[in-house]
Amino acid sequence: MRARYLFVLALAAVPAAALDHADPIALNAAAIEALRADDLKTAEILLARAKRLAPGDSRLAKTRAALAAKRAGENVVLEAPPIPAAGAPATPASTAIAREPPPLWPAR
Amino acid sequence: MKRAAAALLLAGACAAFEVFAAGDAEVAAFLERAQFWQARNRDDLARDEIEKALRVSPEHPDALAMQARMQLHANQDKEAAATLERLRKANPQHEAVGPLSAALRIRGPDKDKLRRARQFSGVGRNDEAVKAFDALFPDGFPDDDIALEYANILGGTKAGWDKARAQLTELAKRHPGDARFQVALASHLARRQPVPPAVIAQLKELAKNPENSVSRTATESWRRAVTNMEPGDEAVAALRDYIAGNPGETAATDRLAEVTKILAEDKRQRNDPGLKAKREGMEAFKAERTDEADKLLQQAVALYPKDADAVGWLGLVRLRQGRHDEAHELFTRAASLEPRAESKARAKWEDLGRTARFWGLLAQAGSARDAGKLEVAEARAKEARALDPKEPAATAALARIYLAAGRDKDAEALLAELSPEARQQVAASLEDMRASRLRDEGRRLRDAGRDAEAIAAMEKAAAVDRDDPWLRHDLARLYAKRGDPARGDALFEELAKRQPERADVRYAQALYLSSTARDLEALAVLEDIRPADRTDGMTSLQRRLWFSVQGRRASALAAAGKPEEASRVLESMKASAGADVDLLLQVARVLRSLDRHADLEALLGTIDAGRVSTTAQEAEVAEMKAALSRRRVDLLMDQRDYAAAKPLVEAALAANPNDPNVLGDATRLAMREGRVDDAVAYERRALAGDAGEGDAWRYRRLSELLDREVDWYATGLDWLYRSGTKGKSQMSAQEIPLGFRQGWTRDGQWLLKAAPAHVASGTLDLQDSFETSTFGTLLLCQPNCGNVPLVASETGLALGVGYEKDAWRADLGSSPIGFPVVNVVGGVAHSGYLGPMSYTLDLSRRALPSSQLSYAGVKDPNTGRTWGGVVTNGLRLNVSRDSGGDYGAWGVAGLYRLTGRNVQDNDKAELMAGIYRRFINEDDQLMTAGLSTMFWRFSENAGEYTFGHGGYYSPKAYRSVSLPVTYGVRTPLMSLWARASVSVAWSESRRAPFFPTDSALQAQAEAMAPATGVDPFYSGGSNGRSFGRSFAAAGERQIAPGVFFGGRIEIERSTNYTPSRFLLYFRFTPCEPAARPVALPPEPGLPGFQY
Repeated sequence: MRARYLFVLALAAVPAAALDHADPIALNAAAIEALRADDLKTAEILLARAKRLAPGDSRLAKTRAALAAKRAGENVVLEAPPIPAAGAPATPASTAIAREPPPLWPAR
Repeated sequence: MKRAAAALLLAGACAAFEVFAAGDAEVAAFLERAQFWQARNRDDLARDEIEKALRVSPEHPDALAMQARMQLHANQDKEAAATLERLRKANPQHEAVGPLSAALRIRGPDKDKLRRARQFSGVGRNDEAVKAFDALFPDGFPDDDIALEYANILGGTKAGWDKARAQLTELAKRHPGDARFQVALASHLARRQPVPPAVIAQLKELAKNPENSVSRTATESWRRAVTNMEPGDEAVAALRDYIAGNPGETAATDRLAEVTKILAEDKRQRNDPGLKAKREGMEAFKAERTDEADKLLQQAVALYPKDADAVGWLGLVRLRQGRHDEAHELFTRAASLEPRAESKARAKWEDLGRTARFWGLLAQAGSARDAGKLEVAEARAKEARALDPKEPAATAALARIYLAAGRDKDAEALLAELSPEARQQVAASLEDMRASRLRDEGRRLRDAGRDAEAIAAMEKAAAVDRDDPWLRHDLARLYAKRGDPARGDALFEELAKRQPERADVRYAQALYLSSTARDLEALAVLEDIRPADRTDGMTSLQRRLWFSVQGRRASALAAAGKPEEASRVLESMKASAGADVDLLLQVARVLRSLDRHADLEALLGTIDAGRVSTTAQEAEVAEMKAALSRRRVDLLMDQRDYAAAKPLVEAALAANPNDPNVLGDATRLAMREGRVDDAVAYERRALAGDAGEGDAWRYRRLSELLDREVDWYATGLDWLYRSGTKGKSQMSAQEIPLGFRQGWTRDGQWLLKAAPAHVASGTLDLQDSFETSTFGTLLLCQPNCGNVPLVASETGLALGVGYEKDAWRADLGSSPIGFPVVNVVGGVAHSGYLGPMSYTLDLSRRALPSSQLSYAGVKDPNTGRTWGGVVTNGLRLNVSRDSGGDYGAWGVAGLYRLTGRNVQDNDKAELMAGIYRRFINEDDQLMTAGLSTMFWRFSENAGEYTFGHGGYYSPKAYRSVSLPVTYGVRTPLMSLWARASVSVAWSESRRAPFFPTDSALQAQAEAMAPATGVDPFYSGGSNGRSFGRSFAAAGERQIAPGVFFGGRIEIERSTNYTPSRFLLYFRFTPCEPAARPVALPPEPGLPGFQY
């Protein structure tokens, strides 16, 4: 239970860890984290929202099955969801005007 | 021999005549006469003339030579020998000495040698015969008969044809009237095909020669010439001509039949599709047109499956194609189809079958080795080696397999078994194989993402093979990937320094530089390659890089505010690209990035008209066109020209019904047109299957649409409290609203509201004469009002129904039924856009919950009359400009008439405006600060609580400036929001009578003023400046998939206005889980929450 409270606390205290609330992939990842923290209610709500958005997504079905198993008292081991790519900052295109290139070779 | 001697004599006479023509005239005359007689076979008279000459000049060499020849002709060899001796003494260098000596030798000691030489010729050993003749006559032939004999023999040798032709031509020229020489030359010329028709004609003529030997020789040569002619119409004609002249000649007749048959067969073959295909297939194979040969020979085999040649040649095609197993099968089949077991053809196919099997096994070994199946590879290589032990390729393949297995010693031992030459050949690649193994290992590790290990393996490989630029290319890219491009640069610099002339080094270096986004440097490196060494690949790279650099220059120039220079660069690119679609597409990408849509459209038209040769090119052109079309759609939709946008979207949708971008446009259009169900369907189609990485924005849009499709319910407690004078301006109002919003339908949405309401203002202190004198008409019963009945609270039920469709909304309802004054309320609103701004125009009639008097109405305890229950009737325009960016602005303008039962009508004008800046603008966190201004103006002061006033704040003028700051945050299931504001306001009040709606009461009050001491007017004037502050906080939490619980508190404190509000609510959708998360800022989002 302590983990659950810590999870909730973390969610409230670290809002900057933004969640795309309508992205099924992100919702699934958040639901898995909630399951790992035994916060089944949060997982249920997030998965229900994700399913509403992407009813055919196989990953959601897998997580929902894990939720059902947890509710049934089974010991479910869930791997931590992959951390979404931080999105490597795009290298800004150089605005310097390059010098004239050598002449173009004729086509062959 | 007699003829030979005569010929010799004649030749000598001719020579003597030529010599003495300019010498001793007398001797010459004798010798001329001798020649004359000799030519007429009168040797006796010829001898007399020679004797006469010798008497004049006893040792005259020419006379002696002629005499010796005459003696030989007469078989007087001894006398001839003596005469030769005299000639030698007289002139040892005389040209007749050699031939006369030879003539005497072959009649004497060398007679057997000549006979033996002729025997060689007689049994066809012409080369030996020629050698024997050459040995016999080193100084020339005794006469032209022997020379003719020699030339005929020489013509029969392999290498002597040309030399013999020259000799025979010379002899024929020397003896134009002697048919023997003519037939010899013609026969010789007839030996080599093709025989010129003139030679055949000459032989035909010579065949008629009366001299038997000549005619026989000519006939034989004629026959040989025509029977050896290549089958054809000319051969048929020549054979028929010969047979006509030589009837009964079986050889010619047989040949004619054979040629006729061959021609018929040839004609048949030319017309037979299978044979034609075989013949053309063979020719195609020889011309290295393998694909064509494949097709033709397959046709031939299909038509003639038992044709060994067709099957075998198809095997050759397969062998060339590297399809060794099929080649082996075909060669085996071809061999079995050859009718004779010992034939050369069968041996040839069998040999080719072994070759195919050998290389097939090696190919299998190589494939197995590459697949890591080293045991299989070893077995195959050994099998191949057993098939052809002398071929070093099998040994080399086996050695490679051992190396791949790490069995270096076995590989070395294997190489030792080879011949020195083969070993050198194979061992030369041993180091290459080791390097290759390490390189392959490095590449495998790299592909597995194990870069550090890959670098280690490739570095080892580079140490073994220091000259491989492609290995360095791979290694350098790994260095660059790990942030150390300088190390990669150094690899190439070292190799280029050692081998500056190698074009492939420069090529690999340029590719490496290009991979690290240094295209300009790559171009400079390519310039080092000599034009003669530039390959297609290098040229293609140079041109691609050139366009890339120029494209970036154009972009940079445009970004630097130099559009004309950018255009010049782009034009040069277009001109240089010619018809190369790949390069034109590079230009198109730049144009697209620069938003030069018109130029892009024109260029795409050019490309379309050209040759788009690959599927990728076709797809990119189509994608760019679709993007242009989408942009047109975007522009039209931004201009709200949906009618023009619609056909474009529909056309795109028909062409690409599942294109996510097109579906996005279709969704936007459907949303604009209020077709939520279509919009959802389009988005569902675009998002079919598993969610993708880049689809988050679409899901956000979908979530909004989905939540609009479902029914929503809400309930809660809405409590408004305002401190003030009990019974008058104090107010405590509670509502428990029940709201319903129907899910979206094409026919619109219904909204229902029922709100039990309670409002209380406390009990007026009747002991306070000031308060009582300013409430109702209690002023008029002072001081004897007694215990007037005061009602401190009211309860009622507000009802309402609303309807929304597209941009319109209408509602109709009532203020709480049960209140002393019940008003019909409602309104019509329309929302839309004005350029970049959104607006809502609202014509409405609303209750005014400022006080119990204004909201519910109050019964005057003195007169029993009811007044109050004010409604605001008017037109209000809200405008807003907020595109979700850092700044936003809003404004409100309204004109209203405030009316109520027995309440002074009042006109109100309001203007409000504000701007704000979002300092944090994230999905889950926001912070804004702004500036808001407000201006109110009322025509009347109706803000008091005497009969005829409305109990609401109605200054003559009110101006305020406030500085609100808001902050909000959201977690997956909860949102929190707060707002704080400070303000400053200036206000002014109008003077107002106590009883503005009842002049009698007002007159009475004025008349009583001396007694009551109350001037029945509320004084106006400036209220000066006042400061205010406010605070609001809200929160919402999702407690179930379709249920949200929220609350809100608002506190406002200013000089004359101190309301507080507390709200708790639930909103829920019973059918589906909510698609959207908790709202930020939290909002009930439903009708019924009106405070």
